Amino acid sequence: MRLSSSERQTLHDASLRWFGVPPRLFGSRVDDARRGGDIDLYIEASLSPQDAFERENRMAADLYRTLGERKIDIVVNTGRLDLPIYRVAREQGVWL
Amino acid sequence: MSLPLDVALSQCDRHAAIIEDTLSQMPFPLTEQQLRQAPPELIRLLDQFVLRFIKLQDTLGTHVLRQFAVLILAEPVEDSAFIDVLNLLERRGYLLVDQWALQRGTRNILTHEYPDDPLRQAQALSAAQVAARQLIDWLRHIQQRVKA
Repeated sequence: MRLSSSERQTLHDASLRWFGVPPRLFGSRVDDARRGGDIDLYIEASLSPQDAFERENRMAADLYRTLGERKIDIVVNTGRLDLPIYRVAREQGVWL
Repeated sequence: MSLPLDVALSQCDRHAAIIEDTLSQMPFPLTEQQLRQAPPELIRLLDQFVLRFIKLQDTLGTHVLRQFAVLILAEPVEDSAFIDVLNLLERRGYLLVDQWALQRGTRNILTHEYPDDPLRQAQALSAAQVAARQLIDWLRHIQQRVKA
């Protein structure tokens, strides 16, 4: 996993704060052989779509303040849809 | 390297004018239904809006805010961390750091495509409409101070 321990902690804390659960990291950052890339986070939370979106936005803002300009993609599965990306994230994802 | 402040501000002005024009032609808030049934003209309008919203944020962030603080407000922040520049501008009443961070969050969401989730797209675009108006207000305030 290509994240420092303080980055991991920051992402974990932000997810816990806004969604009450830790996130899973998936995508290129899980692969030690690759370089750079977005930070892709997957979170499962039973919330209304509006509430989930607002929390996601606030979490992204928190992460901007603590980590600065980073490309962070937060995928929140509220159970409303069953998108292929959810399956990929569950299969590849590593808990933070 | 930064653009000269006057050049950067005139670029921002151009972005703001196009944003205002697109905002006046699109529904607010945007709904999932409207996106599902969006005619090509609305899609074009939204693409144009998103592009200019991102450009306005970038130009302000990369070329305007620090130079404005240094050259116009005479604050010694040439080498400060960007977050310190933002905090200073908040203290001087030119922006709100939390809102800036939220706008960046919205932009992050917008730059990822979710073709199979139009509700999420509609939410992000509606949030961006609010954010763009706020950004333009801040730009106008900065422009007024530069002209003063």
